[in-house]
Amino acid sequence: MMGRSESGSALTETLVGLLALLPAFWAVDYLGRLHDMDRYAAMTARYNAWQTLSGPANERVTHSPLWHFQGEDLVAPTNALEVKALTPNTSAAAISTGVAVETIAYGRYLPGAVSIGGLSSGMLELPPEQRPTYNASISARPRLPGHSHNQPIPLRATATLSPGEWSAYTDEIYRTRTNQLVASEPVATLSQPASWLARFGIFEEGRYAQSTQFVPPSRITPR
Amino acid sequence: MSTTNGASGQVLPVLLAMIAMGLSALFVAHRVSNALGQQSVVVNAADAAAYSGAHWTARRLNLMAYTNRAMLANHIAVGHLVAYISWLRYVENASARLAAISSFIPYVGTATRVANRAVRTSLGLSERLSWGFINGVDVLHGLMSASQLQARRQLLPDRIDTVMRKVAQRHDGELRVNRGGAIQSVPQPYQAAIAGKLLVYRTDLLNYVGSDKPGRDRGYFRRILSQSIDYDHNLSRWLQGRRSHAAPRFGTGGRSWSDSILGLVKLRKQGATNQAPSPDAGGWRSADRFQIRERDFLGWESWGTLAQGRASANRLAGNYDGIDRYTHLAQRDNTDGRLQIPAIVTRSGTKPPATQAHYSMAEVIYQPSKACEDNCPTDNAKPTLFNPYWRARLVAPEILP
Repeated sequence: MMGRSESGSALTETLVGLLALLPAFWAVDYLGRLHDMDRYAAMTARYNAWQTLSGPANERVTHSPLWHFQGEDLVAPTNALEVKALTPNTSAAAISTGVAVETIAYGRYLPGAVSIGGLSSGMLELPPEQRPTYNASISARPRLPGHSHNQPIPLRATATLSPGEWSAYTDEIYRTRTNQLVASEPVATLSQPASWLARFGIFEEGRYAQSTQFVPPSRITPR
Repeated sequence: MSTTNGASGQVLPVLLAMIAMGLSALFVAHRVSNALGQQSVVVNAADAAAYSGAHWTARRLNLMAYTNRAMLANHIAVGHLVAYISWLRYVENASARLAAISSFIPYVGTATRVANRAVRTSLGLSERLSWGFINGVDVLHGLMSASQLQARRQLLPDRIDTVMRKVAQRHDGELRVNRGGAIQSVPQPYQAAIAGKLLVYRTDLLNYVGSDKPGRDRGYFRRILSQSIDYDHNLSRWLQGRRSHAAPRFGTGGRSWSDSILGLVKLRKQGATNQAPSPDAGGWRSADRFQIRERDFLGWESWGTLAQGRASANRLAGNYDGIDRYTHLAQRDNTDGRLQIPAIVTRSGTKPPATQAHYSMAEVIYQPSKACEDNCPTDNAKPTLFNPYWRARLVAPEILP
């Protein structure tokens, strides 16, 4: 049996202990939600980067129901959720990969006058190499001691990818692109009189000059 | 009444222990959550790096394929033009003879003279333009060869690692890709397996693409050139001839026909085009002629040439370099063509946890389209750097055999 001086000490100690423990439990809950927001930022950046494989990035962000704490929205009201394209998926953001490769791949550094020779001024007209980069950021409301000056906690993540294979998905695409590097038009134009002359019996072999498709189908491969 | 001193303060130690445990749990939970968040960044970065590295590689292989085909096609276009000018010179020569013979026949003489003038104008124009055309093709071939050389250099392991590192470091500046030192932190036996994978990847890349001169490749280029001409019947007839530096031998050509008039006169037209078997595949030469022979009471006389024409790429352009080099798969009997690009992304930052790593794998494969009916290669066709069907994909990494 405890003495008078000791009566109630267990209760007091328990209350004191809970005073320390309750904020800890409270902090676990709060930090868990912050981590969820942090992971969400990383995932949003990742999804936006990978989305560029099939088209323009989807910059939409959602608001998770987990991001409420004690009846209050954890996302800071100003500049709350944002996805920004740091390097947009445009030709201006192309990676520099060398003069010769860029000239053949998409006609950079090439004068438009080459089209006179039957070539495409865009050469193969392939999409420029890029690294579309996306930054997702969420500003969380501070609730832990030390952040009481009300500055939002920035949770940021960046993701990027360098997609594009320059592959031809059909034989037609392969031939169209390759023909853009082949000066067959001048030969076809110059050979026009052959078809007219071939109407005369003694020049009949001129009809063979009409074949000016110099790029064979892709089934023709080296043996 | 006795007080039990041992009971005093019993709650406090328990509470202190609970507080300590609670705070520790909080600390550990925070660390684990942080680590998981960072690990997901490492995984994202590794996937993106491997995928980007494979796409980078596929882009260069496809560029080589387009340019190989384009150089081949431009080379054939030069041959076509040389044959055409040879033939047009023969036509001009023949029409001049006809005009001379028929000059005394009213109307016909005028018509043949006009026709000869038209052919001569067309020939003059073609000859003048052929100089610019052939030299232009040489410049274009030089540019395409330079792009192939540049693309080959960009396929060195260090360059691909740099591409992957740049991608990974956009996720987190402290990430490293395929760095030997960082891999030391990976536990055995994974460390040895990953080091082995990296060695295979580097060796494969160094031995994947080669280049050759057309005349020094055991006939590989000659075969694809012949196939590219022969698939089209008309083109095949137009460019038929030998592979020789010598003047074309008429009997080998395809621009030929013959006829007989009442069994007394024989006519024949012959025309051939030679491809030079030199290392650069340049030097198209072409010749055409029209001959006649008559029969007298002693038998057939020898052939007499009525009209002829000749042309060569070197004479038309001053010089035709042809194709200096082209790229091909180093192992031409490679039936698979698969090239694996691993990305071992490690993070050895100052912030805990000390080391995180993730291993992602992408591969480059040769995959012809199925959407082009009879024009595409079959499924079992060998991979080649003459078709731009190189693709990239992420695959599940198999670390341990």
